[in-house]
Parts: sequence; structure tokens; C-alpha cells
Amino acid sequence: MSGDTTIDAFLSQLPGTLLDGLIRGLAYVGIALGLTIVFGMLRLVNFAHGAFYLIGAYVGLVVSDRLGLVAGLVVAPIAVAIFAIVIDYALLRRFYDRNPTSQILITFGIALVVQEALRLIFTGTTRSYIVPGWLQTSLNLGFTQYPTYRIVFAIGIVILVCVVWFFIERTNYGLIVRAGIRDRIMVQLLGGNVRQASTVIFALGGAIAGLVGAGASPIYSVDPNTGFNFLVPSFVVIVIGGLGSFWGAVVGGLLVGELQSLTTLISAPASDIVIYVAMALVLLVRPSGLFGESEIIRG
Amino acid sequence: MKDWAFYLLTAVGLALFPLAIHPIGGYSGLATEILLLGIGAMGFNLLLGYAGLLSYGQAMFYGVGSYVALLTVSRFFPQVHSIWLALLLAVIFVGLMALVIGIVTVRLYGIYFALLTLAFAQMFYFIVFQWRSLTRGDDGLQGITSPPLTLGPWSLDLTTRLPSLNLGPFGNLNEVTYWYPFAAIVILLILAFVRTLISSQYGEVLAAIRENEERSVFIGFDSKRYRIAAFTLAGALTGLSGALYGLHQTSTAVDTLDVDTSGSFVIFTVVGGVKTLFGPLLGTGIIEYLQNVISGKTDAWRLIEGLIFVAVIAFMPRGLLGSVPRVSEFAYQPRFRRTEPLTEPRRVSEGIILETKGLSRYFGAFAANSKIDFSVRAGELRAVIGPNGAGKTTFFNVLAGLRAASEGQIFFKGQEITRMPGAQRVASGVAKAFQTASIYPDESVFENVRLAALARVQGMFAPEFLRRSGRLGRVDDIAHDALEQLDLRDVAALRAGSLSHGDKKRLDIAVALATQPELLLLDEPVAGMSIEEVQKTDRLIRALAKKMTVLIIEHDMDLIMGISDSITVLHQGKVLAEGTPAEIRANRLVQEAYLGGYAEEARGASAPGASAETTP
Amino acid sequence: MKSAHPTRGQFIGGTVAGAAATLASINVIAAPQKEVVIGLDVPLTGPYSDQGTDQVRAYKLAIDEINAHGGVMGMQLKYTIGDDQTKPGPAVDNATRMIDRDGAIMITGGSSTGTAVAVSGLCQQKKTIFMATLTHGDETTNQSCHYHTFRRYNNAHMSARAMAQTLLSKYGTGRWFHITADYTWGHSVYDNLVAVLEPKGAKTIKNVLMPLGTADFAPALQQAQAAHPDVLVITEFGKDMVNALNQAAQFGLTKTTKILVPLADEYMAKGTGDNFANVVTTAPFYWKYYVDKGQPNARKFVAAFIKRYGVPPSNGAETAYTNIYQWKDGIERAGSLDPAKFIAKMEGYKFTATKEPGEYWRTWDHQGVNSCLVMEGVPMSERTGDFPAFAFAKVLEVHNGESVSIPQSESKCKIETA
Repeated sequence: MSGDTTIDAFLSQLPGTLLDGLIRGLAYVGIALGLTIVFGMLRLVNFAHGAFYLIGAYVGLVVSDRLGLVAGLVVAPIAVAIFAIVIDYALLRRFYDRNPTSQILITFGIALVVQEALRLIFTGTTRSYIVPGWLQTSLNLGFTQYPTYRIVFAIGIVILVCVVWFFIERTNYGLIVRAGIRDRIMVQLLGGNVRQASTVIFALGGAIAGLVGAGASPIYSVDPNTGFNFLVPSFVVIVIGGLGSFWGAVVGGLLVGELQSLTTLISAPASDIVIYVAMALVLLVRPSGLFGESEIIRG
Repeated sequence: MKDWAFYLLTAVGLALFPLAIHPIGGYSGLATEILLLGIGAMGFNLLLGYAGLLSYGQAMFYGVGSYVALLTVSRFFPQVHSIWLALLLAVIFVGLMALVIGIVTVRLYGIYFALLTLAFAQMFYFIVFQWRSLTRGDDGLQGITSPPLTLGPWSLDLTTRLPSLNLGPFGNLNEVTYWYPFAAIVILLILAFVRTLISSQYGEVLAAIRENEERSVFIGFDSKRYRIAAFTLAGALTGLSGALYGLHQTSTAVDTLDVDTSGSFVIFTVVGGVKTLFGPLLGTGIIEYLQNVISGKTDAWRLIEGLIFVAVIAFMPRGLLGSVPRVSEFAYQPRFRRTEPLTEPRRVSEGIILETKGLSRYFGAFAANSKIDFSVRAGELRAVIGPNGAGKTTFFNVLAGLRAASEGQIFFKGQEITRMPGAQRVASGVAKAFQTASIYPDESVFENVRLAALARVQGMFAPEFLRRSGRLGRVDDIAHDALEQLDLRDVAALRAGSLSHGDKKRLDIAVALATQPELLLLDEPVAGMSIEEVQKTDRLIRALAKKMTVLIIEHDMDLIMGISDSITVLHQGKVLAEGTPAEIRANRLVQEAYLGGYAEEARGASAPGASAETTP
Repeated sequence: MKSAHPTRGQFIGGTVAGAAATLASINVIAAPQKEVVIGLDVPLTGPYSDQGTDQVRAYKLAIDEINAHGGVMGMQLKYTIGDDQTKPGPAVDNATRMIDRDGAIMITGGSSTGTAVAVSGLCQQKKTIFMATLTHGDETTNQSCHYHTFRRYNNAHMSARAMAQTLLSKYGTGRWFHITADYTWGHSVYDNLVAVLEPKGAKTIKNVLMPLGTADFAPALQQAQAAHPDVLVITEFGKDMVNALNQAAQFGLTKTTKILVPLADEYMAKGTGDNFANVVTTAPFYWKYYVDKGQPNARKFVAAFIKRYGVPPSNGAETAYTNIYQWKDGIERAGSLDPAKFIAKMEGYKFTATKEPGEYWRTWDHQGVNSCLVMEGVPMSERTGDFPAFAFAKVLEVHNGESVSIPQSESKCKIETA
């Protein structure tokens, strides 16, 4: 095969690839954020996280079809939050203190049901979003012509991360939540409503995923399998970053994004498997990830 | 139920199965598929139900098994006209694969373990997909006729049909090929194997590890090796399942290695019932029925599958079959044979039995233990006391191997054990009774102690997959002896979880004792006990101290002062003072370390039976 | 029974013999067959569920029409459906069941080529006819060809050659960049394209192989953008194609570069909306083209399909429909359900279906040799008619099937004799 795959070509494509990795990384951050928060705060392994993303994407699709993208971005997280609260009351309450295996199983089951229900409603067709005209353009950044929407999306993720961080670290409510998970009984004695806080956190994690689902679907489109397709990379990200760690999700997401992007430049067929290899290496060498607490996860 | 009755009933059920499912739309091919897939589900059940490991990567064993079998027939050894070679190679190759992967993965738990198995499965998918010259990539392998089943001079083409016999609504017998009886016999053998395995010596220990891993390690079982064995067996069974299925189907493709396939084993087993013998088969049957029969009627069949799965987990967590009330597998009737206690089986050491040099343990920046130099003579009864937060329990944990030392060295009987794993320390003769009694709540009191005795007799790992531990008479003797010494004979048959707090603590000590230690670590043995219980325990500890070295953490000053040969006082992670009870009582530093007027009470207390006060 | 007064032994023996004969005869004296069963093995879930559902629509239409006109050789046509989930394993399981339990004497369907190849292998073992519908990869009638399998749909060789030839005049010596799905189909399309283009002077800049199921094509598209090619070939199918093309549009590539998508259908085009404008693709059938051209069978078929389902048929649906009719026709010409007789009548058979006259079943590989349409996407604003979502393209050139099909000398197909 002929081609100009010289070092020059590689270097000239590097900035574009790195930018790409950054944007994709931010998408991963957004997708993984809710998952790590729910684990860190509730010790709940949520295999239904992809389903939250999926519901957000479809709700966003339906709403933005009629009322525009912004409306979609507003309604989607609310819809997912409501769904999360319902699921929490109906099913998940009793699983909080159970072993991780049961949690994985029940949330996996919920994800399956959501996926199939959405398939029956929306069929298996791949859906794409209608994005306002001015966002369908691309910006000239010198080294590349980059889609405007992706940049707007990336900025949106950064804002989202800041807002969530603020909520957790700086508000009273976030404080109660953080304390409550560390020592439920104490907080209850002090008058804090830990049950309620748990539901709020779970709904928050879901809402974040739903918002990102609605926001990312103009780029990645959506079909019923999308939920599970994004679930596993989410876990890869938070394993590498450290389960339950906020900054772990941020750094992990960016790392995974860049890793995939660079691999596509060097050896594209491996761009899928490389994230699994990375996850396996982290699990073997340092299971707590970059920022995670080293709990007794080893034998 | 008697063995022969069990197998007979099962055989009859299997014989009727392919025909019985006819009226509901089933057919013999489906029955064969259910049995062959069920083998994989049973393997998965070993992992999840009995070893407590959720693997999300069984597809790699299933898929590789099918490829190895089919490639053996079509490419590697096409001249061999026997199905056994293909099956043998598949099982051996996948078994080795599972062993290697198991060694690497079982140090992780929960979600970490699940994700690592998933990662490995994805890597195998990638390899099989990309290695086109061998596997034909996404085109898969087809049209590979299965070689016949050979038995000595006889050879049977498994696709031969049974003779024709019309059975009305149950179809015609000639739709059944010899694959089905073959599959049925294989399943029967595997059922027999699993059934034997569960109640074997290995199975008993595996169940103990699943019930309370920490306790199991600290009576001397190498839990990691047990899990590796389970993982390997499960992998081999799953590989066999894939090989048989592939040969039956005459084809295989990359989808046998994908995430969905791993997921289906999870679904089969959970729906049918984890930790039951027939559960996985039942679950496989239900889901396969949905996939093959219902899917033709509605494309909501996957939704139905998901709903069943969720319903089962939410409302019947033990699966459909598991929700049927059953007798505990370990209902063991203790037979009291000996009444006199045993003589010492372990050599009693002399001189310094335990020594630490500069031992430290940090948690982050906090030094729980700081440069502790400590030594105990054999036969001593040494108390370790100090105010709360002094680092006593941490010290014991480091000695026992529950926590690694950050700095320094530990010597036991002259040998350095600083890096020795906990189970091995127990095997060497160091046993610990926990502050919060760590027992097997669902087992009888006797069984609890017996497990520790079993560890003592069999060692850290014994691959006894077929033999029961009951044949080891010495185990029972040691267990009886321990119960006797702790005065627990009356409650021996009771469920351990139902014991009172005080009895549980004594049970914990009995468990530690049954490992026949030379050094016994007792962590607050009388905490929370009533006055009589304290007195009882006091007598007991004195009796123990005559036979072995005892280290004891306690807050009950009366007890301590009464029974100790010497006392070490820890304060803020360091050794504050050491000496006889009298010396410690008079020590000013010690008095200051314990806040508020304690010195007077220490001086006043003497006889056991006076009110025991515990420090706040 | 021999004498008027049989001995007890003879009596018992006779009764047993009589009973046995009666039991056996239940199978021997079969009731005259009133119906014949075929199996539809299609994706109803999974990535190609749209295509599968549309196939089923076409099958049902054909079957109902045939039954209304007296069936096949006077027998009513019954069908049984299986969902292959777009995976080879379930596809084979379904086919096995349909043949063994339901008595299907013909299997049709297919989603990906992997699935079709798997079912084809099974049908060969079971000596059952397989009328492959949706499978584009070469293997079905090349490396994995089988005696019992017929494939009417275009293959990668045909599409690639047709596309390349149409574009040669304008882009022949230009620079081509490829993004290819990393599996057998993708590779065969790429190899065929390059085999035509490079001898004519086209320059292949790079071929980026993307794993199946990739959601984000940005890195590949960036590389494409940086290379400034004249033509960008996106060899992807289904959801991957929709993503790749939509993202290419976001990168502005649809405006600066000529884009090729080797195979597309109405549902994929729907997913890309207006981004499909000016994209060149191929298909074996395009409903609008043949209706506008006035092909009588096409008009009848499309009208009936629209009447019953409210939407026009996709190209997969047309193949499904024609497959059923061709099978019926072959059976009736053979006068028998015997596969060997059917195959003998099919090989080399020329017919006119909904496309150009003179299409035929090639003898040595059982490939249906029929035209390959090279089409170009039409912007939404320019689409006419009642079904703008489905009227997604205009035909640039119709390539005669023979001119783009692989010659026997180059093919690896060695069909069995039975």
C-alpha cells in the first residue's frame, strides 16, 4: 500500500490527533463522572449507568426533534433523574448494603430491560440528532478544521465537571452527602437524612449520564445498543482513574481518550482493544487506579 | 437422598426431556443444545455460586473451546476419526488457559475481578478475530462434520437418528439423534462430579472461604489457591461446553467469544439458581426456550428475558430453584467419640518464641505502630494493654499477618515471618482470635471448629475434589478437643449465628485453638461478657497458657493483673513500659497514660470475681 | 395371517407384525402434502434489525401473493421465522431448528456475511437450499461457496468495480483516502477498489482500518482531512456508516471531498439525512429508479409493498421478494422439491425480475448476475415524490452484472458436486 506515512506525516497529524483525544477524553469524563460519583458516594456498582446515558439520549432525541437541542438538553437529565429515583425506591434500596456481585447483577438486569424496552419503542434504527445550523459548521484551527459542535460539547463537559465539583465540595448538601456515606449512623444521629441523600446522589449520577447522552448523541448518534457500548469504556475510565474518585474520572477519561486517539494514528485496528489492555494492566499492577483509595481489594 | 436414587431419577428425567418439551414447541435439537450449554452454566455456577466469583469473561473459555475442537477435527488432526481427541485437546488447552488467567486474576475481588475477566475475554476475542489465517476471522468455521464417538472397536456417528416411534404430541423418536443420549450421559457425569465436588473436602473449604474468607485464611486455608482451582475447573467445564456445542453445530464463529455470550452464562445461572445443582440447567432451559421458541412469535422476547432476570434477582435472589427451601448441605451430626483431651501434637518450643525488631505500621502519615521491639518467651502469658488508639489490635494484626508491616521484622521460633502470608503463619503455629468474633454463622458450632481442625490436618491447600473430609478421623478428634476445652459441647449442634455474644467469642477462640497453635493471640476475649462468662474465660485462658504461649489484649484490668506473667503497655504506637503486673501497676507513666484515677482502682483490684471495669 | 385357524404363536406373531406394520406405515403412507415450509432466518434484533424487518415484510408479501395464486406446485407456502440477532451462532441454531423441527425445505435470509456463510455451511450439510438475501461479502459465492446456496445480491467485487469504473473518468488519477471497517467485508471491498484504481494511476494515500462498532471516527477523519484527498472512501455499513458519514459531515469533509460509501440502503441513508447528498454508493436495486423507468414487475412490487406497509422497499427487501419467487419458479420448473433437481434447473437460468432483463444464476458459483447501480445522494431539498426519506439518490450509471462480476479464473470458488 503506498502512502505518505513518514515521520513528518505522523508529526503533522499529531496536534489534530491530540485535540481529538482531548475532546473524546472529555466525552469519556462526562460519561464516567456519574458512575464514579455513585460508586464513591454510595459504594454502588451501577451497571445500569449505560442505560441512563441511553435514556437521556432518546429523550433528548424526542424533545430536540420538536423543541430544539437546548430543550432536549434540559429535559433529558430531568427524565433520567426521575427514572433513577423510581428505580431506587422500587428496587435498588435493598441492594445498597449487599455485596457488589448482587449490585452488578441487578443493575445489569435493569440495563437489559431498558435497552430492550427502548428497542421496542424506537426500533433498532440508528438515530441522529438535528443540531442547529450554526453548530453544524467547523472551525478553522490552523492545523485542522474541527467541528464546532464538538468544541462546544467539550466546553460543556468542562462546565459540567466544575458544577458537579462545586456541588460536592462546596455546598452544605454535598457535605452532608460526603459525610453521610462515610458514617451513616453518625449523620443520622446528627439529623441528616442519609436515605434522601443517597437517592439524590443516585439521581445525580443518572442525570449527569443522561445529560451527556443527550449532548453527545449529535456526535455519536444513538441506537438501543449504545448504552452497553458506552458502559464498558466508562468502567475502563474509572478503573484507571480509581473507582470512586472524582479526579480519577477526569484524569482517567482524558488518558483513555488520548490513548485511543493516538492508537488510531499508529495502528487503527487496535484502537478498540487498547483500552482493555490498559484496564487489565492497571488492574494487575495497581487496582486502586491512579487516585483511588487502596481498599482491601487484593487477596 | 440416596445416591443411586438421585442418579436414576435424573437419568429418567433426562431421557424424557426431549420428548416432554414437544407440546410447548420444543424439540430434541433444543434439548441437546440446552444440555450442552448447561455444562458451561454449571461451570459458571461453580465460580459464582460456590466460589463467590462473578466472572464476566467465560466466553473466552467457551469460544476457545469450540475453536480448538473444530480446528482439531478440520485442521490439526483430521486423520483421527474419534471425537475424543477434539474434546480432550479443547479441555486441556482451555484448562491451562484458565489456570494461567486464574492465577493472575483471583487476587482481585468483586467488580475488579469481573472487569479483569472481561478485559481478558475481549483480548481473546480480538486475537481470534484477527488471526484470520487460523480462524478465518469473522467468517468463522463451518461444515465441520463431527468425528464419531468411539469406544474400543465400536464407532457411532452421533448424527444417526434413533429408530422411528411415533409418540403423538410428543413427536417422533426419530427426530432425536445420538447426540442427545451422548449429551445426557455427559451431563449426568458432570452432575455427579459437581455433586461430589460440592460435598468434597475441597468443596467444604471453598464454601467456608465464601462464607467468611478472613476467618478461613486465619485458620490456615490458602484462599487464593482454592479460588484458582475453582476458576480452572469452571474454565475447563466451559471449554468442554463450547467444544461439544461447536461439534454438535458443526460450526463456530467469533460471536462465541463476545460479551453477550459471557453475559448469557450469568443470566442462565442466576435465573435458574446459583448454588443449586440443577439451577443452571433450568435457567439455560428457560432462556434457550425464549430464544428459540418465543423469538419466532414476538421480538419482545429479549425484553421478557430481561424482566425475568430482574424479577429473579430482586425477589428470588437465590434463583428459581434456590428459593425452594432446602436442608443445609453441611448438616453434620457430630459423633462424640473421645472424652479425654488429646496430648500435645505440636512440639513445645523453648526460649524466645516471638520477637519483633523495630516493627512499624503506617496508615498514610499516621503511625499506628512505631518501632516496636518486643519479645515473648515460650509458655509466657503476656498481656498487651494500653489506652484506646494505642495500636494494640494493629500490632496483633501485623503479627498474625492480617496487615503487612511497614517497617521492621518479625521472628517466630527463630524464623523471619515478616513477609509470610497469614495462612502460612497459622500453619506454622500462630493463631488469632478476633476482637469481633469471626465465625461461620450458617454452620454448626461443631463445623466451625472442625474447619479449623481440617486446615491443621490437610494443610493450606488440598486438591481433594472427590473425597470427603469425613474420612480424616483426626480432624474430628481435634475439633472435639477444642470444643471440650472451651466448654462448648452443649451447643455443638447449634447454628453458630444463633449463639450469644459471649458464646460466639468463645467459639472464636475454639476455632483458633483447633489449629493447634503454639502462639495464640487473643484480642479482647472477654469484651462484653457477663461476670460469669468472664470467670469462665479466665479459667480457660489459664488452662490454655499451660500448653502454649498466649498473647492477650484486654481492658479488663482485674483479669489482666490476675493471670498475666508479664505485661507490655503500648501508648501512641510505641512501647511505653514492660514488666510484671506489680511493676506495671506502680508505673507512673502508665498511670498518666490512662486518664483519670485509674491507678487507685488498679491497686485495689486483685481477686478475680471483683467487678471488672473496662476503660472508656 | 395365513390359515383360518392360526396357532397361538402365529396369532401373536401375526398381531405383533400387524401392529408394527401399522406403526411403520404411519410414516410410509404419508398424507398427500398440502403445504411446504420455508425458514426465514433474519436479524430482528441487533445492528441490522432494520434490514431484517424489511426483509420479513417482503417475504410475507411474496408468500401471501404466491398462496393467493395457488401456492407452490399446488401446495400452500408456510413460513417459520427465527431471529438471528445478527450473529452466526443463533443464525445456525435457527436454521437447524427450522430444518429439523419445522420441516423447512428452504432457508432464506441473512444479515452480515458472517451469518450468511455460517448458515450456508449448515444448509450444505443438511442438503437444504439456502437463498441468501442480505450478504454483500464476496465469500458467500467465493471462498465459502456451496452447492446448495444461491446469492442474488451484489457482492463486494461487483460494487467496488462498478464504483471505481464510474469514478475513474473524473478521479482516476486522483488521490484516494480509505477508512475501512476492519473485517472480511471491508478488506474485500478495499482490495477490489485498489485493484481497479491503482493500475489506472490513482494514488492510495492511506487505509485506516477501524474496528467494528467504532462510535468515534474523528481520528481517522482528521487524518483524512489532513491528507486532502480527492476521494474519501468510507467502507462501513449500518450504524458504523451512519456515524462515520455524519461525523465526516461535521468535519466539513462532505463539502470538500468526494465521498464514497460502497454499499448503502434506504435505512442507512435515513440515518444520515442530508449528509448523504453527493455521496456515491452502489446498490443492487433502487425502487425509485425502476419505478420511474417503468419496469413493470418493479412497479407492481413497489406498489404492492407501499400499499401494504406504507413505505417503499429497501434493496434488501427486493432481493428477499425476488428470492422467494425465483425459488418457487425453480421448484416448479424442476417439478420436484428435490434440491438436486432444483439446483439443476437454477444453474444458468435466465430471467427477468424487477430489474433489467437477462439476469441469470451463474452455474459455477451460484452468484446471481444482475446489474449493479452506482448512485449519488440527492439533497433533501431536491427530493421529489411521496417518500422523500426513501428517495435518497439518483442513479449515475448502471453496470451490467457480467462486466463487474469476478471471472472464474480469479475466483476461489469450488462448488461441490452435490
